[in-house]
Amino acid sequence: MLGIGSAFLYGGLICCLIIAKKHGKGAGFNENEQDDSNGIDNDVEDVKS
Amino acid sequence: MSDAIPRERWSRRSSFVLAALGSAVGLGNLWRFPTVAAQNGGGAFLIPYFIALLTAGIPLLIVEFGLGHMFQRSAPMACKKANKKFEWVGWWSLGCGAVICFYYCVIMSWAWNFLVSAFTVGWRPEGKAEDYPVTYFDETFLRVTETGSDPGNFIGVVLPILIGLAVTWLVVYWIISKGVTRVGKVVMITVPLPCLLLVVLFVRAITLPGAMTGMDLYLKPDFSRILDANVWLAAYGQIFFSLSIGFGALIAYASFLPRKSDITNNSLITSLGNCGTSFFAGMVVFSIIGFLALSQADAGFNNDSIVASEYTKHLSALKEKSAGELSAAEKADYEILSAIAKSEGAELKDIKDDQIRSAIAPEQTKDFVRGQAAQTLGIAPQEVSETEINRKATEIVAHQSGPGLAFKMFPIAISKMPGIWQVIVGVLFFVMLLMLGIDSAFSLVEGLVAGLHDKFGFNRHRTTVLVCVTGFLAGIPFCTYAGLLWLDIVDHWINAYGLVGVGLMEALLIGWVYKTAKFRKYVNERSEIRIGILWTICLKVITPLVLITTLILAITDEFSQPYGDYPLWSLIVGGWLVIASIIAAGFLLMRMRSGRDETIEEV
Repeated sequence: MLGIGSAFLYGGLICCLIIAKKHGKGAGFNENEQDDSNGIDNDVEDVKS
Repeated sequence: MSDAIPRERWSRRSSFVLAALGSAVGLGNLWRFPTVAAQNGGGAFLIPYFIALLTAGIPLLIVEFGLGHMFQRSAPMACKKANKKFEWVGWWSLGCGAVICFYYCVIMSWAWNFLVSAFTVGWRPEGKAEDYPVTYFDETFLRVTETGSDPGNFIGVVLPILIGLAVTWLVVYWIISKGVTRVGKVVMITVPLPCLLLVVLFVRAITLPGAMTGMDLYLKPDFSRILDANVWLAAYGQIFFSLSIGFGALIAYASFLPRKSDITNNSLITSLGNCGTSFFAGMVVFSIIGFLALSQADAGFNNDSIVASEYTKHLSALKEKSAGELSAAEKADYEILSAIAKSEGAELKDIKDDQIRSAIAPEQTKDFVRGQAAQTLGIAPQEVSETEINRKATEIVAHQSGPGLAFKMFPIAISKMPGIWQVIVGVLFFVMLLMLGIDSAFSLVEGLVAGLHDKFGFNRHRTTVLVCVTGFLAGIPFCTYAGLLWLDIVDHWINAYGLVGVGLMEALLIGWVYKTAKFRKYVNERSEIRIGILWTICLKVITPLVLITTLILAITDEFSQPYGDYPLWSLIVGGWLVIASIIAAGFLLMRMRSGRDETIEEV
């Protein structure tokens, strides 16, 4: 079980890290993005109404 | 009109991932997972555990990250934006997180005190019995024994714990006072460092005698248990508690992510990293347990050993039984108990545990272990080998979980190490414990601060001060002599009902109330790994089913066998009343007017 556990957890983790490195390089970060929107709504409904 | 204050942002992806990982990886990874695994089939437990991770843990983590990311708000306002009637669920999750934080910081205070003691191995002064750390923790440090197990008997506050609590809250305040900017820097140390210390401890632990027996118990699969429904429920429960789902902390963290950032892969990295840490911590814990059990066997299971303590409990339980209720194996033990009562000149029913423990012979303790091993193996006691006796002794020691493992078993094991290793391992262990705990603690506080800030628009700095001062004051009851008893009661209710309830409501919110396809589309548009129909099935069917079953079983258990040996009033006050107050506060806060302009902009 040591092998199966390690392969699943650490193997999976390494794969995810490789994908992150390949694709992301921190997508959205370091773009001086100042997204100050209040987030998207539930079908354009004003929640205060 | 839109809110003019721009939302804080993580400066780097690694800051967010480490913060989320730090929140998920906590004390439970060290003291809960290994014991749950060993009690539920050892290595075979990993199969239901991994399936639970894939079918409930990761899907719910995607929901939490997605909620925060999509609505750019912490739990209450994110839930509100998904559906107005669900805001209270967000407050419920923050309420659970807050209550956990109140006592979690007290546990951190214990760790500060033990770190100071580690420099002088204060938990076992020279000349004291080998199990003295148990007495040290209960009698000298917590002083819980003076309450006579009565939660109403507060007696007073234990000053060193109160001081440790103040230190913990000061550290938490310092970390979150500057928002995620400072959190992002702190987690660069508090997340990798305990992992590094775990590796150092692993190298020391694996080279101790008896370590392999512990590892064997931890990893050897018992496939006969895999069809047991309780094992599956334990696996789902462990995954759920371990990932910090339901505290509201991860929703808040994800709300500080930039719009274009990934969701699914971050969830996978966080969950696999968290479970990987648990798996590795299990190897360290069981190596040390194996060492401890072997050293007790080598000492002939004397009366100071943990095994002798278990045998005492076993004999003590026989006092309540009549002769007709005894099994064949118990009859011999009953005779031993009668002989002890006779020699002590006491009635069998009146004999105290201390009298039993001092009167039992080490050989009788060994016979008890041999008998237990024979029962497990289905063979005659005389056929049981020394290896099997050691394995059973390891199993008995491994039954200690929770704070007892970290603050009693580890100090016993550490005090058995040669010379300077006692100080080195002791200091490393408690530094690691503090590092593991601190990032979980401040993530809970950050979730609450962000929630109040988002709803009412309070000044962030003042909110942080208010939450930290309230948290310190609310933690004081847990610093009293009866603190451990209250901690145990509150922890049980929050875990069994609070968090499970939040998880269930979150799954229902995104799975059934909100447009699941819209949510999935939003996640997939930004993520490096796409989620498909399997995620939807897990969220709509598997997760709710498992959580409802867990909830029903827990409630049934509660009424058939009330938790612990506590008086009913304390279970009502520390359990049901706490849960009811959190839910009531959630509805109350939901009805209060928001202090911020929440006009929505479409993204």
